[in-house]
Amino acid sequence: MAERDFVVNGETLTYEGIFRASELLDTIDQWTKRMHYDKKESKALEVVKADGKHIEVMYEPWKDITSYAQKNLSVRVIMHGVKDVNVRKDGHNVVMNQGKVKVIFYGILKTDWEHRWENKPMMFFLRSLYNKFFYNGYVKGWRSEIKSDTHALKNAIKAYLNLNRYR
Amino acid sequence: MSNVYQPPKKVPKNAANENFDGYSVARIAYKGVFDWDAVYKYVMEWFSERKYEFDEDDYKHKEGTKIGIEEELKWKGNRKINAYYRYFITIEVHSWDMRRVEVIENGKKKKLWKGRILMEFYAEVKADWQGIWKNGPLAFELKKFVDQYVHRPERNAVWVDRLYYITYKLQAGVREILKMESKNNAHEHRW
Repeated sequence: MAERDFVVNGETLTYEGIFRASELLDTIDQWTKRMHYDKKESKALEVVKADGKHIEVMYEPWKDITSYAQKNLSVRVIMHGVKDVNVRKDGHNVVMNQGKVKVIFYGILKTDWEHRWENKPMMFFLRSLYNKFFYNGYVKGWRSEIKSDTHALKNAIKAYLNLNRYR
Repeated sequence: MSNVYQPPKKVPKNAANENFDGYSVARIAYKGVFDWDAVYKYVMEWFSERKYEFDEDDYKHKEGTKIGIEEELKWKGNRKINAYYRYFITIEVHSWDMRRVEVIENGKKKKLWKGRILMEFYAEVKADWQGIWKNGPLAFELKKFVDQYVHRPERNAVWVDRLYYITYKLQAGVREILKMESKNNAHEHRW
């Protein structure tokens, strides 16, 4: 099992108001594409209820840094009570969504993702020594990259939701 | 909600699908009214247009509950890439509480299905699909060595990556038929 270090652990973003669910999810997908992350969608759940849709999507984009380290982001989007509303924009009627959104962010540094250094006790011990004494600088750099990437994604989502706040 | 979502099943890990960590590549869980016939037709046409050999490996129909029927289906598509690699895409469908409903869409009456559906998409790149290197122990060990150390970078960067995003394109198409909000696929342009 690879080692996972939770650099960003469960930061949340909540929003209630008007937005477009498909555009919000597309914002996240486009961001991962732009930042050259590989796509991974662990969950795509949609339930149509009388009081609106319940949508849960979980993206886990990943990016290999080296053959030893990997960046993993986890973005869980929960949308509750999503209904269609008509909004007047620039003189036109536009169909938007209204509901509650909660986004939970995790930024994870995964090391030894190829499982090469954990098969034998001596290899595991060597890995621990290297991590502690030789790779410290690299690990710090990778952790700060993951933190900045997670916050950049969070800001991209905030920017999109803020655009819709005043509609 | 717990009766709609189920955790993904872990499949045995092998050298061919190691990049997928043994879990399904993509999943869809949906509860509501949808056109099941359109989904069926779309998946068949998708495989046929891309020259995949398509099989419906498993079909189980159960009486289910008083609300509706329960069905389990397993679709498999496979396509030869070259003399050494072959693509396999498996879709496992499980539906619960399925019943026919009549809705009015654009002023016309239409018969659709209402229920819960879970679709899991698995993808695998199979090496040595002809079994040429399985004839003897030496050939088999040589194949293992070549797969692990010689072909691995090319296989992961080209064939596995390609199939990975092709499976997401299929999933995005199914989501569009189901009219889900998460139907967009920003990686549509890949491969």
